[in-house]
Amino acid sequence: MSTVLTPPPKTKLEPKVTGGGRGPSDGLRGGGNGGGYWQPEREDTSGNYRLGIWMGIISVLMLFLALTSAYIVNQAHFFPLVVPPVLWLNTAVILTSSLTFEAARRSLRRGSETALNRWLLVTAVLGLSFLIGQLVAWQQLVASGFYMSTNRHSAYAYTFTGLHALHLAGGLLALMYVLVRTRGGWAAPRKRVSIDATAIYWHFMDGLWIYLFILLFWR
Amino acid sequence: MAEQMEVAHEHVHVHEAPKSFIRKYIFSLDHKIIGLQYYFLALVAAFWGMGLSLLVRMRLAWPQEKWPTLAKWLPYGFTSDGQMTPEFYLSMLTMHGTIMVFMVLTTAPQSGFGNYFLPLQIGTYDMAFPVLNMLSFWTTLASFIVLVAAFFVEGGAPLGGWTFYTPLSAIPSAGPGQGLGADLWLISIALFCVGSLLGALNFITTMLNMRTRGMSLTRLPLTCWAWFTTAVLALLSFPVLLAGGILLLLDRNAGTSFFNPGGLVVSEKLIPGGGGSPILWQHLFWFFGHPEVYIAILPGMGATSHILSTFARKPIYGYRVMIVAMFAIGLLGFFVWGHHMFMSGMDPRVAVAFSLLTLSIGVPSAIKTFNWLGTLWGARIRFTAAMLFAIGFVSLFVSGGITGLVLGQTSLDYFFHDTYFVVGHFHLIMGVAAIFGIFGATYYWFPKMFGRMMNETLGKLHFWLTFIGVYAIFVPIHLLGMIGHPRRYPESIGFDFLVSAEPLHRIITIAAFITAIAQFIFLFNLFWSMFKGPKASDNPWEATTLEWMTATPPPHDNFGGKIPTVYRGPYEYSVPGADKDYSPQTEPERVAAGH
Repeated sequence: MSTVLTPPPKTKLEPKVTGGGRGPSDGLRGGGNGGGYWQPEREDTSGNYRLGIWMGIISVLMLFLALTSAYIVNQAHFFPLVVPPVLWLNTAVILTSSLTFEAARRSLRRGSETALNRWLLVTAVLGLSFLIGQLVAWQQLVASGFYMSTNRHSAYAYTFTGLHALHLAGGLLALMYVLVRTRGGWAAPRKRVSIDATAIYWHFMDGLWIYLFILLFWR
Repeated sequence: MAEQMEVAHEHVHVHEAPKSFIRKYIFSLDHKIIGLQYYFLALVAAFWGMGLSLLVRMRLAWPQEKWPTLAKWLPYGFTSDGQMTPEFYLSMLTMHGTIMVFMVLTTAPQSGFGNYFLPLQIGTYDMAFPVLNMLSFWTTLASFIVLVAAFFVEGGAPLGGWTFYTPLSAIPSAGPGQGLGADLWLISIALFCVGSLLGALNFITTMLNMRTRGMSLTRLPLTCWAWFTTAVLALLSFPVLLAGGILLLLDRNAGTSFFNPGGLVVSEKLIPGGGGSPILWQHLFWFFGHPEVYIAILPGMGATSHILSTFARKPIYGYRVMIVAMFAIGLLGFFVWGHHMFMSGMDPRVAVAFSLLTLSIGVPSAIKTFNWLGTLWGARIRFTAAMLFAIGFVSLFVSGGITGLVLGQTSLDYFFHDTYFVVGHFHLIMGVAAIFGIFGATYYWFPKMFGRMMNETLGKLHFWLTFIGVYAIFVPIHLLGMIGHPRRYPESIGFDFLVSAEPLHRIITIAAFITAIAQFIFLFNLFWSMFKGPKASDNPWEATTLEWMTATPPPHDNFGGKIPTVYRGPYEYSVPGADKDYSPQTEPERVAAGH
């Protein structure tokens, strides 16, 4: 979005602008050259993105923990529910997508652009298939006669899968953004940081799905 | 989560100063502008919420009075002969609470001042994720607009109180505002949760990762620690409210029964569904709700510490203990939600555990209070308006906190639960104290934010009228609670034991009107000073922290292309041997001091 909302950086804004700024300790130090922009001590902001995504994960975790406690208080597990068969396939798909994401990161480390793009694309397609698969699962639930209002177990099944899909869709959007920007030639540190942050979130979504699958359908 | 990846450019992560009006003031990425946007949102909401409270007070003081003029303006809230309906009273009450808690107490102290001053005080150019920051504000604004829309839909605003207790809040036929109005309320709160979460993760990342050279964790101003603690609380508690809100929306619109126990007859009709737990909502709500009251008050504590130290010209007493106490309050805040539910049929043994944990919050609170008093002890105080409000905060924190120790005991709460005693307690500690924090912060930071000084005489007049006014309102409200007056009743007539309450209600309402009028002194002072006040210097209070070490108002990148380097703690006032009575954080140590 920054591409829409802020003008592109001017050429004078080089990555290292703090260069000559370590002058005498007079309290306020001169920024040195150029436009006077400066950077904090760290060379890149990868720390920000990693910490930020972890904070985001903590908040999503709290959401699902709260819903889990509600699930327990409501004793939802004691009501009947079928396992839509497609969920086994979906689980395999999302697990595979985590592996392909890791393959993409390995390609990045090796510096293979084409492999990176290919693996990211495969991951995105798998993510999309998972979302479609979840819709199929809903249809299979309906076909078995389980609607949202049938009992509390089915109500939570729809709520949990729906919220998980919504969060995964957010990850998918991020992934597609990364994909587009990577093809558009992103600077290397920026690319690595964005892919790392998206991958952390993606694996979390994967693990969250395994947890929900067990919580909802383990008999 | 996509936004997080979008905030930086390929080459530099400092965004340029925007040129156009829209990018500079409306869709701004600058934390200072976003802070001001939050501040003015809270200002509008505060006056709106205050107006609603006056309508509530009018109904309570003169329940049978007719107001034909008002009835002409608000026809749906009044009978044909101009008497305020009980439903209208309840919806005003609900919206007063919701607007004040969410749109004022959660936005102004944290998102408003925190956004503006956290990056300045830690010596950086912006928040860690500027685009995310902008999205937080716009989500919050959308939330406010949806909330206000609830006034204008069929049936009007919801009646459920700001706690929105189930099962009645899950049933659209439970009252005139419980249809679309209640749905809008829930959507608004869900949006607010999302906005607050985005803000919280931004605050945490910024404070941990963006501090400038020399700004170690124990050189941070206490305001930063307060905003950080608040952000942690928000990050952990808002998702729980969001979960409750989602379930309640589904109960209302998707035919589920998470909260509906079954067998309910509302307005002579059997409500379908059943088997849910109405108490579940209380657990989810208060697991959020209790940390939320600290989200409202902690930034005020930070600002109070900051202001007291500045105008006492003394270091804050027990700096590290203040941080520990703040964290202890935040941590304990997650384990006491049950004290809102002593009357919900809770096992008495569980209630005792909640009670003991609740009372133990008194320890860190007392530490903070004594440290504030220790800071004031023997000081040559500069009584500015900001200082008066900070001292007022301490006073309100004590008088509101003491009643918390009363309500936290199960045996006493059995009597006081849902009486006006509770209303008095939380208004003093959470409402008015936090508002005093906002006022103190406004008078203190106004010169930096707008480049001009506020009028001190008007500020002091505002302080004294408000300080006396709030005590005149809320001490009698405690008395109402002591005679057992239940809260939320639209009138006290018809109950023998409440006969003595009627004159008290009238006194309270008159005090409320006078206090409300006094707020217009503040409003006038704020806007008049913004344009006509005398120009402020860079450091008018002779303070030590980084926000005063830059131009007034600060340039787009905060320090004008320079990097502040920090050499000392935040509150080094009256350092022995120094040539002036304040030693800015950017000033290198001259002699090797022994610490």
